[in-house]
Amino acid sequence: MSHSSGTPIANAEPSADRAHPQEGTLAIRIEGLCRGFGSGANRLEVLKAVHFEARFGDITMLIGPSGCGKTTLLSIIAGTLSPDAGEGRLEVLGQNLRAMSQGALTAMRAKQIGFIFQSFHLIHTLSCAENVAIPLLIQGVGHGRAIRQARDILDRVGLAEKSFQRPTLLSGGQQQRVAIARALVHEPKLILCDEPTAALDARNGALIMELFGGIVREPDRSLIIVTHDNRIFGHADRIASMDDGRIVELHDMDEQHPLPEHLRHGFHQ
Amino acid sequence: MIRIALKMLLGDSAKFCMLVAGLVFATFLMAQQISVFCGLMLWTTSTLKNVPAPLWVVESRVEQINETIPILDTDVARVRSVDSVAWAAPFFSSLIRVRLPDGHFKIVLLVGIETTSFAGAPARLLEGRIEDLRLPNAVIIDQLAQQRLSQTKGGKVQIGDVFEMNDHEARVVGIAQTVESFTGAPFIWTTYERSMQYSPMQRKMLSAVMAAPRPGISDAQCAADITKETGLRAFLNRGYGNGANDFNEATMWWYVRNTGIPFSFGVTVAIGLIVGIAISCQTFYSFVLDHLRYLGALKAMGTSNFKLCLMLVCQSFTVGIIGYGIGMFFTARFGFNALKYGKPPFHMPEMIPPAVLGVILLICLLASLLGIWRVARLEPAAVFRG
Ligand SMILES: Nc1ncnc2c1ncn2[C@@H]1O[C@H](COP(=O)(O)OP(=O)(O)O)[C@@H](O)[C@H]1O
Ligand SMILES: [Mg+2]
Repeated sequence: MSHSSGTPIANAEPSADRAHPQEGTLAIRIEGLCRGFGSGANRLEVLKAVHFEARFGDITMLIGPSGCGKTTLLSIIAGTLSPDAGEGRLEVLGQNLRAMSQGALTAMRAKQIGFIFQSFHLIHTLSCAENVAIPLLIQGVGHGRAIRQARDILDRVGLAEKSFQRPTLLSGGQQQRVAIARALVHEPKLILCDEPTAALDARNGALIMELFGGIVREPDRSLIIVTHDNRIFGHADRIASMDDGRIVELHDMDEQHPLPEHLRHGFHQ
Repeated sequence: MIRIALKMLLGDSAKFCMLVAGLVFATFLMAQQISVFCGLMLWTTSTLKNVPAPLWVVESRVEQINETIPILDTDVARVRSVDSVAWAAPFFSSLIRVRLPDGHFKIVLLVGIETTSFAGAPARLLEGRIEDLRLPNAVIIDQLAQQRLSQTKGGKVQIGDVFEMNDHEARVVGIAQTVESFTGAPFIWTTYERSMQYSPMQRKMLSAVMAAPRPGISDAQCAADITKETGLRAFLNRGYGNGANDFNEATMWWYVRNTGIPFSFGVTVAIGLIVGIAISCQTFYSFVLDHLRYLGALKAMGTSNFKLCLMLVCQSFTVGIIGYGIGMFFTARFGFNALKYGKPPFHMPEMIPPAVLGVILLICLLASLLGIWRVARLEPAAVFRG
């Protein structure tokens, strides 16, 4: 693994302009994690002793060619897929996922994680506000209160007037903004996105990334974006480049360390 | 989340309608067919309703009311002599042919009763007086006979009209209201003595003895005494659900055992059940498959398996209850019409609606289990993949 910026990640120091107590500390810590599919001759090792970290307050992008294992890693972080048994360390939001029961994982997803999917997964028979309210409803918040909170968030992503429309009437960009509102409504500590801009054109992709850099980013929140869309790489604080089941390069970006040339081209999915 | 689940269900109006329609069909077929069957079984015991008597004493091999094995005239006296019997009266009944003046024949059920006590007189007399039965050649007919024996289409035989049975004249002196009989034959009452003339002569003519227990003695006790002392069989006439010694119940079970009627109705009810299960399970499963990616997303977002199951069960029970409601509405419409026109037979015992509801909910549970099975197998990680 090579570091293209000056900061070694293992003991990342909080820098001076980061005032929030959690900012800069680790939201995700993964060491030597493996995951394969199938057995015997059909066994496919997808994750090969992965090391990965993400800090609070950061937008961390997980990039790499198709099939290198990005989604698999993201699913493991979400607790929806279990890693292979073994040594590897898997800590998310300060908790050891390996030691948690299915019920505890489900509860953690409900309370602390926001999800954004490539194909939005907005329920087409519900209004936008109802879709956005779902994470609150899952937690047992009353319907009326959940809808009010959902409308506030929709207002913040600029879609207040679409609250009572069905998502199918919206453009792709608007649908993804609704999905972002849904990921934000319960104020999660961790937001996981899989290819959030892949289904969008350049203009809408840029709009979505503006939202990520603006209202989504919080000092005590960590954002993981799996993407192969090189148009948005510039919005990351940190880029973890993956290939063949390993993180091959970790790049922290700031004014002094812009996006390196070899990453500008992106990958073909 | 339940509200969300119901909105998901109602949002897919095509599948929703299909599910409801399937359950309406199943509800209607089951409730209506069972009721028609029960109505038909009621018809088989119509004589017991139309010719009321607390106890029916018959030949010991008789199993049901529509079967007659004649006994001796002297058996009336033997029944009378049993201590616990208050009164006993002879009774004659037989299907006979009525000859109309234009030469046509009609089948009627001729009932002969004793005129001193009038035991076995019509339960409801609409016109005329029962005492007039003592007049020469007098008969009392029911409303069905009024139509059947009329010579003009749509006309009605009235009091004072005359027809012929076994070459003997019969004059109508009263009109009775009756429960329709299984054979479809109208009821005609006359005196016991005259019924001997109206029907072809046989060695034994007495069909049954009607009797009643003394005050303070139960009908069951009295029946036991009669059987013990005369060797004849004594049936009670309380109604269904009173054991094998009740003539109503014995008659119903005789038809269940000895005719293809329960089988043919059973087949129809089974078809309702199978079609209901097939349509509901298949439609609900495809509804679940259509919504699988949403259910997967909900699962990934932290919805527990228990809550997802609850959502599916709520969805299927909702269509179940709506389908049941509409199905029962149609059954009720059918029932009211049937009772109004007296045809087809219709009788819905109290336990039919809750029983059908139970079956419908069971179908729904089955359908949702299929969906639950699919959702439980769903890997939440799969939502990230397209
Ligand atoms: N459930 C699974 N069963 C078998 N193979 C899988 C499964 N999930 C992923 N894979 C395989 O793992 C590899 C990595 O997949 P994925 O993590 O989706 O890659 P990426 O998101 O980087 O495109 C692929 O070759 C894929 O076929
Ligand atoms: Mg992927």
